[in-house]
Amino acid sequence: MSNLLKKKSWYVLSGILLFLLLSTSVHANNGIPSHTRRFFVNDFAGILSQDTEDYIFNSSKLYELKGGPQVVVATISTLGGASISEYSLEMAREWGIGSKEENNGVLILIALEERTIRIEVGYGLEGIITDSMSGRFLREVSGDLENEDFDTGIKNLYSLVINELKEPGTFDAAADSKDTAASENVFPAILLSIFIVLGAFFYPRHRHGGFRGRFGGGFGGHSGGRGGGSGGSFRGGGGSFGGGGASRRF
Amino acid sequence: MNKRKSGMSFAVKLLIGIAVVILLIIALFAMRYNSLVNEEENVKTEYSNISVQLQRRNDLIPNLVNTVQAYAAHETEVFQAVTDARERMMNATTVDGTAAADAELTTSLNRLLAISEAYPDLKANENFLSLQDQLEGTENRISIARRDYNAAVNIYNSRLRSFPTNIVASLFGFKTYDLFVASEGAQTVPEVNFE
Repeated sequence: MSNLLKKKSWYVLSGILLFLLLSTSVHANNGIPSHTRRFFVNDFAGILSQDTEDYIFNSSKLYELKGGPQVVVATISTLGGASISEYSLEMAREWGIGSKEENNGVLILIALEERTIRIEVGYGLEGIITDSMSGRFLREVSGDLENEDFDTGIKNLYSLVINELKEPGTFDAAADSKDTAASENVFPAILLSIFIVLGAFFYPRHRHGGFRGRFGGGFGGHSGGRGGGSGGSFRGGGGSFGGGGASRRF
Repeated sequence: MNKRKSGMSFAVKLLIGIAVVILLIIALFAMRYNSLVNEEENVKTEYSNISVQLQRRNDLIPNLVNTVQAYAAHETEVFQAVTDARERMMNATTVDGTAAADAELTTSLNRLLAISEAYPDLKANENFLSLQDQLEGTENRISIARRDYNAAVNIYNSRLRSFPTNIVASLFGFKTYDLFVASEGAQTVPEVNFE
């Protein structure tokens, strides 16, 4: 009897856990891929060399670590029918590039099939990287892009953009964007408390010790799973975008 | 003794019960009221975002017209269309009127930019290119602000109609907002081609 109950409640708990995991990973996916572990460089179209990827990643990481802007490069094979400005806005908002307080994110997005490139500039940087500046940068590298020398073109474009930003050392290192992202996740916390309450209900009282042991195991496993996805890797700080930047065909 | 005590506590319980129900209803209404206020505030913020970008475009136009005029003085019809549309935009007072004027202005500005195709000197002019980038950026911002505004209006309006928020809404005189939409086709943002 007690064993059966235990089994049943374990199923319920696993069900809730599974739902929790699924709901966090699948949420609001409107065709925008989730970013890579390296966040700053996402070569989905496979057109960048390892050197260029490393250069972009390391430079952006330096800004990130000093509390500066987040500059992200993404290459995709197709926009899937959307316009580049729609797509890049969705991507920039979904990834939350830049910090929530300063909205200091930049996304450089290139779509191979449509032969289009865009610089998407966060609210907080619109005064620094103006639309006409973005347009000029795109014109400067258009030759490389037309010749399909994406490695050179994107690397140069990236350099032009970060040259407009302050030196990484001059940012206020106290600005930490990580904790704001955590406080937003109320939904999993609510589910977790339901899960705890349900667990307490389903478990026979006299086996309290056993319950705790099991619960601890389940919880640890769950947080470990999430940690594998985001722990140690980089991600957005919740920056917002309003359509600043420029696009160009090549 | 015991009986009397339980009788009294029943009456008290009943009163407490009624009080709790009333308090719950008030709390529910207060919550609905607060979220309505929040969402209406959201709608207003998003609308002011549109206004800011529309104004920004209005400010860009004289400069752009002057630059194009310097190279293509005889395209008077296009200049007139832009100037008229800008005038209507500035005089529009309702959401519908602004949306219609916005669509008209976008179309006429498209024609203005298309002129450059016939004038290579203009097309290579650094000032023109910069203005063109700014205009495109502003058009893009307008379309995003429009979308964000409409999303906020949809959330607000549908909450306004839902029960029991509709009671709160009619008690406090909340009104629905208009979507920012112009006639189909006219409102698509120009994707200007540099080739």
